[in-house]
Amino acid sequence: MNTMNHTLIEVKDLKKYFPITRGILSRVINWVKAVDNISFHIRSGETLGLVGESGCGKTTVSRVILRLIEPTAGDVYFEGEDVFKLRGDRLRKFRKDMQIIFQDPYSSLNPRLSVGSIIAEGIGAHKIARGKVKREIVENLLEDVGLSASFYNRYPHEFSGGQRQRIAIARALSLNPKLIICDEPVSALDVSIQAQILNLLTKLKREFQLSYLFITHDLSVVEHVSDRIATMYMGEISEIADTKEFYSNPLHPYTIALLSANPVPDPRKRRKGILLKGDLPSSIDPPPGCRFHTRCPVAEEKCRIEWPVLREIFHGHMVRCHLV
Amino acid sequence: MKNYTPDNRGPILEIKDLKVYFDTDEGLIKAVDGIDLKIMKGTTLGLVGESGCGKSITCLSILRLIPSPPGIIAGGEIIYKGRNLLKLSERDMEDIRGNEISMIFQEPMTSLNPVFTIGDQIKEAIILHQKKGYSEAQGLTVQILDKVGIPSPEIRIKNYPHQMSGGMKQRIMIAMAISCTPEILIADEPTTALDVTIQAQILDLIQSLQDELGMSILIVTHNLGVVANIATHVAIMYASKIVEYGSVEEIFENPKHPYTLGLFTSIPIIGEKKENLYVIPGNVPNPLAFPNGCKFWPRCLFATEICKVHEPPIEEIKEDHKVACHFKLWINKYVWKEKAV
Ligand SMILES: Nc1ncnc2c1ncn2[C@@H]1O[C@H](COP(=O)(O)OP(=O)(O)OP(=O)(O)O)[C@@H](O)[C@H]1O
Ligand SMILES: Nc1ncnc2c1ncn2[C@@H]1O[C@H](COP(=O)(O)OP(=O)(O)O)[C@@H](O)[C@H]1O
Ligand code: SF4
Ligand code: SF4
Ligand SMILES: [Mg+2]
Ligand SMILES: [Mg+2]
Repeated sequence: MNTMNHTLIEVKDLKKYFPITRGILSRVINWVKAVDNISFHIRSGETLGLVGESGCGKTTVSRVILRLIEPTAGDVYFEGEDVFKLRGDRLRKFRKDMQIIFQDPYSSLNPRLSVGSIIAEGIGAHKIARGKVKREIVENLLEDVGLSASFYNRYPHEFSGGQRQRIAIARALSLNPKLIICDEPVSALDVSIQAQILNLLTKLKREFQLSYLFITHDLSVVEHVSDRIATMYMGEISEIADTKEFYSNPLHPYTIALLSANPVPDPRKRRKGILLKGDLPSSIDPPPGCRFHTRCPVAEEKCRIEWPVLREIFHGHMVRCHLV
Repeated sequence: MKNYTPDNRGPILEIKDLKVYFDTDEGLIKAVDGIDLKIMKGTTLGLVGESGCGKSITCLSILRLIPSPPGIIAGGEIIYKGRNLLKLSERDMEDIRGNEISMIFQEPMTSLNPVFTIGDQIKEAIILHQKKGYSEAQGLTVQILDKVGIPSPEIRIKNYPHQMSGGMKQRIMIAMAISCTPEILIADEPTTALDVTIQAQILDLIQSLQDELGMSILIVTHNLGVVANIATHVAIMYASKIVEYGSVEEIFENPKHPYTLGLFTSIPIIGEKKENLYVIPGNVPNPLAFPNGCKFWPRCLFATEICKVHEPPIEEIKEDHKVACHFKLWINKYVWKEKAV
């Protein structure tokens, strides 16, 4: 990681609460605190891995920063500009600069459009090129992602999961973005295809000087791709550290529990016992004090009452826990 | 978790030369094409392979649940307690299903009926398979939910599936599968849709139920970490065939088949960060047009002319280790490293 690179995106105290309504008048009776005071930054050329259990708010974070949904509170700065205040041309440029790749390569591509039209959609919408030039760009993109230019007129259903994910990557690249959010991009793929896609993302990052926000729940994959890693629990960040530090010196009990649950492909290193019992509590009424206390193996009296803040322990290593 | 001790109590289930074909409009799909597998009593066999290689069809054949048409069991035997399951009458088979051999299916979300409470669904399974009365079944249901770690089971039995998380639904599926204390539990990708934390809980649950009930387990997965953690033996499947089989220690320590070696090198491993992962060249072959000879040859770094013509049989290279490759005695992880990296 090159620390001289500038900050590309800065997320500050971001909140997203979803209303729960009841009755014909849709009276708001409560809120789902999907994202609750999240802050992080990503430097240019850097990959930040975001890990956490299903429902902890990872996808919601990305939808808010992409401006697909409105935030409840907080700020996002992209190259110094306040993202939520962007209008007109500047918003259009921002929409080019930030792209997303989803988990499910089956539902994320429109089945009625040809591969060429899917990839060319953004190029047309942003009036980057037309006609022959547009086609040439798309054909080059197909080759960049390891597909053949001859796929241009074929349809998504003719392709395997791995190939569809390549099409989705080509689409994301088409607007020459600076940041790509990868939301579980390899979770639905077989191991050998997963390796192809991970290598492709590494290659593209180098060639196009990309930054990634890489969302996953696979701790082996996230180590492989990330420069820094953040763990998220019930809408909050519980730990952020450089990848090396994250694995050699994990400090938050949740991080430690996640690492211990990860099955290592070596029968001599079988997991011994589990540190983490039970399911995620409801995010409608999160536990008071530390949100993790209901499952934390080392919780103390204080944890049930007092809410821990995210504190910097070493340079760049932040932890939200009373005991650290 | 429990350590594997070599089992000399013999196999509880033996699959011999099983062939399952699908007669489709596009042509004949050989989903399973002559496989041999053994599940030893009280142990866990992990079946590993990529999507479409025939894992689920192998499981469904054991229970004779292959959709027919288009499916046909074209040959082979499945011997359970001295009887060939493929020759049993449908009635005898019904007694075996859900009673002696039960299965957890790949999609937990779709295998529970959304319009019945989970209590009713488990109760029904108990009444049907164990011929118990209503009130006895009610008590057993609560007991069994407790056993699979569902908190306050008396309340939970009134819940509908949509009121439960993925991990809880998977526990319910396990509860139904073990309600009859089966001899064999077949689990098809039981944790693929779950978080690592919940996956760890489910694997521990399966392991402790095995310790307690002495079941034998067939677990299908494509996660090598899961296999290493729970299985005593592993079978690697590629394009309708078993290409390698052995004890989990042996296979992870001394993999021999080029496909197994490829799989092992293509996964990221914590603490062994490298710039690029190994990628097995090419793609999984189309089941309608499998290559002649060894089905792996178009992707194999060691393929020679003979591989393109003669399919290698699976043969023992030492006790508890079988490989289907012409060069099985010569290929190993050291030879592999030189060629692949
Ligand atoms: N439109 C919505 N309305 C109400 N609640 C929502 C909405 N979208 C998300 N949520 C809730 O917000 C929380 C976070 O959801 P999110 O999709 O961000 O999780 P995630 O971390 O991406 O999970 P996964 O790993 O399963 O993708 C969950 O409790 C979810 O049910
Ligand atoms: N009902 C069916 N009709 C036709 N082909 C089928 C059917 N079910 C499975 N197959 C084919 O059989 C092969 C093996 O499938 P399966 O056992 O489900 O694979 P997996 O290893 O992913 O569990 C695949 O080529 C699949 O497409
Ligand atoms: S603050 Fe307390 S409950 Fe929360 S993670 Fe730390 S020790 Fe556990
Ligand atoms: S038989 Fe030949 S093609 Fe098949 S795995 Fe062995 S070396 Fe490779
Ligand atoms: Mg998500
Ligand atoms: Mg399957």
